[in-house]
Amino acid sequence: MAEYLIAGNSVAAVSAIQAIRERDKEGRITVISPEPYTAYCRPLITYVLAGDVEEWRLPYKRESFYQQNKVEVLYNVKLDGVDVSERTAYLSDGKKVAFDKLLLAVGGKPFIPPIEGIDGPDVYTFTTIADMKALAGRLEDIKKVVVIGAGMIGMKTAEALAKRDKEVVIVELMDRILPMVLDKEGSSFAEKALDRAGISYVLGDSVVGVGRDASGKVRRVELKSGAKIECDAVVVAVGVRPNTTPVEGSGIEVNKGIIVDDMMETNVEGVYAAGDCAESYDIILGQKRPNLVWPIAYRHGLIAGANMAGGRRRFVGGFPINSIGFFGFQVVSAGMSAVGEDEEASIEVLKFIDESKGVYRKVVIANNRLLGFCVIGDIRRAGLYTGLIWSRMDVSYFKELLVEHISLPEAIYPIDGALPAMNFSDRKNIRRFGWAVFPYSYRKLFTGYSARIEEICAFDDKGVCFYDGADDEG
Amino acid sequence: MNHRIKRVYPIEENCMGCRLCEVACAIEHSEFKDPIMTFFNGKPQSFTTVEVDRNFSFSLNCRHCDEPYCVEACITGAMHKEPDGRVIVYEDICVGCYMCVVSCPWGAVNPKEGAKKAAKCDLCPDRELPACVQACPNRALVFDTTEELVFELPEEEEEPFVEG
Amino acid sequence: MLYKSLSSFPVFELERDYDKCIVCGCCVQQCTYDATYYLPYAKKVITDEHKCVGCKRCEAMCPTGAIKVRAVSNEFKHNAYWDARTIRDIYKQADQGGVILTGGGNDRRFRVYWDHLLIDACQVTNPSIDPLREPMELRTFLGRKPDALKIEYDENGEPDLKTELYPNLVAEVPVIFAPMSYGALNLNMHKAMAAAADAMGTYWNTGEGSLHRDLYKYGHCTIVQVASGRFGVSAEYLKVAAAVEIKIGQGAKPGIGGHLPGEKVDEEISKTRMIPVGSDALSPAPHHDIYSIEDLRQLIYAIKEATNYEKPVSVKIAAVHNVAAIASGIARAGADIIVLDGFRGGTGASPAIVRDYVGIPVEIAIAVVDQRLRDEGIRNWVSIIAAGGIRNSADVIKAIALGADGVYIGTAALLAVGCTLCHKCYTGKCAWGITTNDPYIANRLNPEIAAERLINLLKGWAHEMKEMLGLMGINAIESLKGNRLRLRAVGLTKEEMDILGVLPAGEGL
Repeated sequence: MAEYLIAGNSVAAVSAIQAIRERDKEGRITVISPEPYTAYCRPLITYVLAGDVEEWRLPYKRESFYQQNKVEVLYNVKLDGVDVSERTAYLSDGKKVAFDKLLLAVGGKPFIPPIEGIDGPDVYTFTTIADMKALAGRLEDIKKVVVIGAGMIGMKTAEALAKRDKEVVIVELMDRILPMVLDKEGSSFAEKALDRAGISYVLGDSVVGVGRDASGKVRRVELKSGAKIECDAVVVAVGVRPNTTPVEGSGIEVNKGIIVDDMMETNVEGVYAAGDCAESYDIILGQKRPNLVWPIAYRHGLIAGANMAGGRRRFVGGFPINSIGFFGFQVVSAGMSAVGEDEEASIEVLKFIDESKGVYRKVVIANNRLLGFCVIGDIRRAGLYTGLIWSRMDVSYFKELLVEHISLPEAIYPIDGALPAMNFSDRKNIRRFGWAVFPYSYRKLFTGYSARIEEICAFDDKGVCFYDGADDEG
Repeated sequence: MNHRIKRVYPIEENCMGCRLCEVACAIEHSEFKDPIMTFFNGKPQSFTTVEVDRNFSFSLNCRHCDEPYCVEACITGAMHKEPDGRVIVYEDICVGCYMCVVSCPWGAVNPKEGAKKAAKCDLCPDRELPACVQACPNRALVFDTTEELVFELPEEEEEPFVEG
Repeated sequence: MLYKSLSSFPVFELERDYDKCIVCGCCVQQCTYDATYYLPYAKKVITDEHKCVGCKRCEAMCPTGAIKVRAVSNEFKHNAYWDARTIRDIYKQADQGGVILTGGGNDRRFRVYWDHLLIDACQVTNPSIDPLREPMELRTFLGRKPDALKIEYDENGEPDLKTELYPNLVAEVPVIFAPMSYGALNLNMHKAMAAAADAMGTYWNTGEGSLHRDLYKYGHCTIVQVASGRFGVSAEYLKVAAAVEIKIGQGAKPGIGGHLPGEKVDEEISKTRMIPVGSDALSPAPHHDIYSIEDLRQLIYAIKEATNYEKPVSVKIAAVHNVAAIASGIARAGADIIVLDGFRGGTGASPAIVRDYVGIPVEIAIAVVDQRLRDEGIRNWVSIIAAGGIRNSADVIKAIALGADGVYIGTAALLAVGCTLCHKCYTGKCAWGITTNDPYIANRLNPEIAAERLINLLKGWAHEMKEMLGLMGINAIESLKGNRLRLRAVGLTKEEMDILGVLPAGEGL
């Protein structure tokens, strides 16, 4: 009977448990959970802080999930180290656990920049329930908060704090909001939303010092530009890095994250890695890199779990997919979405902007393939772009449609939508971006089957689709 | 893929682009179940979309994928693959983060009209035949398993990476 | 609307109930004549009634029943002589100076002889037959029958037929789908007719536009046509068919040819008709190699030679004044089947004036041809198929009682699949997808559904015909052939009754 050990208890662990149990009903699964909770949704903690979501909705899986899958969970225990030759894991409570197969799903850790005075009370990170509870417990004493970093976590935390009637100042090193997702133009939409909500923000500046009073309480932050902002608390949200501490010195290869092959296996046989801590293939960059997003963690766990239980599944690749909304501003993006027009010669950027409706669509194309997109405002059917990235299809022959004429379901609704021109005379000219613009062979495949796009698109050695350049029969 | 699950498949050769499937879907998934009430008093939303390009069209809705992108992307567990193969969203758990919207390559998951929730095809659990299929005047939508429906799959395209 | 001619008064009015209109856009999308469009500022759909042809597609498709298409009532001052259509035709010609085209069949108020003929039934003295309890045969043999049968008995007393029989078509129902060409109709309709004919054990006719390769598998139930244009006629085309038909004339437009505009000739039609893409498909008015019965005989025997004398050869003529003599000549020229196409017969495109005022009713033509062939003693040489305006199973029974062997249905078949007789076939924009070659509009006719509807129609007619045969005390349709005593006329003149060969109602034997 195989002994599976899963270090970490979030989405990668959950999907790995499901994948293992699909193949192996008997093997013993042990999960090491660093927190005293069942798997929960980390992005949701800002919703809880804001009071939008009750705490009972936090768990992603409940106790019953572990019971049904016959999983033993060790709560409040961290993985301290791994002895790959003895096939033993050292836990933070001093115990040793033997394993046949180990999944490292230890996640990421918030990056705390070296800032003077940052160590100490009133400085928070925001990635776990404990972080959230710590901040929530102090809310009554706090009037004004500085959020360092205008990324996903920073913006959602700022929104949550604003909803709890706190004054918030966002400080971002880059010159734009959501620097990983938006370019300067897209950021202006977000800035407008912040202005409307009365949130102040400082862009292109960084915090160099945290000023404390005699009792050690935070009183102000100092910026590089010399400005000082009075505040009662600081939230550090400048990013999350892969957590590689537990495998240091174990012989498991680490770069920025734990390096895995396309079976999600590390250089050590029987030791797999998944989720935020793993460094896997990115189909957009064409190289390995950590992708710290939820869907990839799920996919990693699924593939790793299947392979741990004796399957042979390959991880085709991934790319970051993000969706965030705050203060009435909604943006979805995937892949390389923040690239500016003039940054690289080989990259082509197409945009559609409708200021009055707050709609902004941008796609990034290189080599006739979609590498990323960003949609602000009306996000309906935005996933079609994701499909294009997955399929790596040649988009050159309908490029002009990509951002302007996305086919939207609003067409049938009398309230706001306008009917599309579909009369006989101009029917022949209707072209909107959607699966219909693809060549016949593609359409048949995609509409007739329910498999993963990236898996039904067969690639040759150069990563080019077989149906490349097939005639458009339309 | 799982060939035994019943899904709605578009037959492009029969589609004439009338969009009655969209109308039927919007009616079926409204609180009124009545066309006129739905469109004048309700928030009509169709989960299927008739895609048109020049001189052909087809109605595209949720593929109820075997390994759904939307389920993988769902941060709350609201998007769910049922044992019978349907992919459905539990609205009371959904917080409207729209990760499913951006991850669905078919554009089949969309924000719910008038609420911060996701909305998608549920294959009409209250009906024997999904509303869109029944509404199609030209049999351009079929509700069947792929065991009986054989699509022409080019030989090179045999799911190369999937095993087991 | 703005640039319309001063004299173009709309023919139809569209009543749209805005309380029910959900602005789904279905009518806008379905209207192929651009009559319906959307006003974004008002969020309303409105209609340009000048463009409406009254095909009722929008009415049929509207999910809430918000649309009613009605003929404009009382548009001109009432005039029993100068009716609205006449007035409008004059306006139109004064505008354009051309021939007024139309499609479909003659819709003028000529006497419908079918409606003056009544069917006999058995009472007391000879019993009627219940078709549900007793066998009833609709099977019909079409083709030349021998003059006499020579039967010899062998030593055991078993009979042995010594006469060599001529090739015959065997139709399980004496109703055949009329020739309507690929090009005039689209491939979907051809597929539907072929599948329905196959399922019902009867035949369908390709018309002059040849047979698409995909339909060669239906060859055993296909009658192929050789018309004056000779489109797509090849050895294979003749060989694959069950019978070959030489088309001389068409009831809707006797004496004139056909014209399929070049823009309708796409890749598939070009391949099938064997003409270049985009070239006009012109059928000459006459066959340029047929100027006499002798010439016709040459063509008939050329075809028989080509098909190894295995297939019956049919000749289709429009019913005209001298039809009896012509039919006699055709029978003597060696034809196995004569098709008489009456003036109610439909067409894809014809000058309205020709459609409306040329030819004679098929009822008369059947009666006179049958009588003439009988008088000459050559009735068994040919089978007669009546075509042109067969509307229901009673018309079939009456046609057979008047002397036909079977009938063609064209308009009835189109009606079965959705046609609303708007008579705009010649525009190529048929909103029901029947007479259009636009591949996207043709999608509206799903061959599978259309075939099912045609099969249903034939099944329904077959049941009714069996009922009618039963009530006449007849158990096989061939026993009714030419049995005009089972018909009585009401409201006809003495001359008409004499020509039809029927007695007035009330006159017994």
